[in-house]
Amino acid sequence: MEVLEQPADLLRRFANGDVDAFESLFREFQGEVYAWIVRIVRDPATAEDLTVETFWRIHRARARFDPSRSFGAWARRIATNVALDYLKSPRTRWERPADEEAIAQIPDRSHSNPGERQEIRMHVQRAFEQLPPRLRMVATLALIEEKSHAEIADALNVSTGAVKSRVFRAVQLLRRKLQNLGGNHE
Amino acid sequence: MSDKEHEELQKLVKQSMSPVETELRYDLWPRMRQRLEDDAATRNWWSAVFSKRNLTSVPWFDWAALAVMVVCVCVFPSWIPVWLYNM
Repeated sequence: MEVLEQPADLLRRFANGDVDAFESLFREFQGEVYAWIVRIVRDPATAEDLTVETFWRIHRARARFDPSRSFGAWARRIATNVALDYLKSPRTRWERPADEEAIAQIPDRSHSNPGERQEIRMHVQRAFEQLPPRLRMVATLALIEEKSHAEIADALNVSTGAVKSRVFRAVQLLRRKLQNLGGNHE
Repeated sequence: MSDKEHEELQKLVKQSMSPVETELRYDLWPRMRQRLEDDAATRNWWSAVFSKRNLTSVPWFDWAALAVMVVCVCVFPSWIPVWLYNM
């Protein structure tokens, strides 16, 4: 997410509860917050709901915001927590099976049998969905979205070393799950 | 795990997950404003019901009766169904 500089006055007015200032910040940052969340939850409708939820939490926490700091970085941390709460909810862990139609539409650059390819994708998606939420989020951002470890660490408010360790654990778990689900896909 | 194995797994994962559109399709401010208004309405209702004026207008013996009831519920929880039946 690009972190834009905000006029100090606007941020001060927001921290003091000015709704117009909040609206200005909302309009400026909604696209970036949405883009960050949709990368994690991978569903546009859910990401829209979670974007509103993020700004709702931002609005409630406005008194704790320090106007001398970056609003964008603060918003991204809150968005990450909101997305993580969503991934942790039991509903999301069990009610979203791998979408076979969507899988079939993913372009493939390999030359294997289409049925086999689809089966491998299903296995990978299932293995991914079975990862613990924290690892799944880090793995999504690092492996699929190719975000830097520093950027992920900033959003999660943890060290870069912690992110590297989570990516490593996620990859190991994925390999193990893929072996259990349907043979070796290495 | 070697770097090559890591790259292969990353490639497999990337190929298996559907790409997502990161562009926001429409303005979410109307939904946000609605939520702020709903919250304000709820808070107004609570503050109207539990305002100092409303609470001080309740006679003292009603508060005493409520206190006796709370104590009884704590000491004799088996009375709860009897009270509920008689309410």
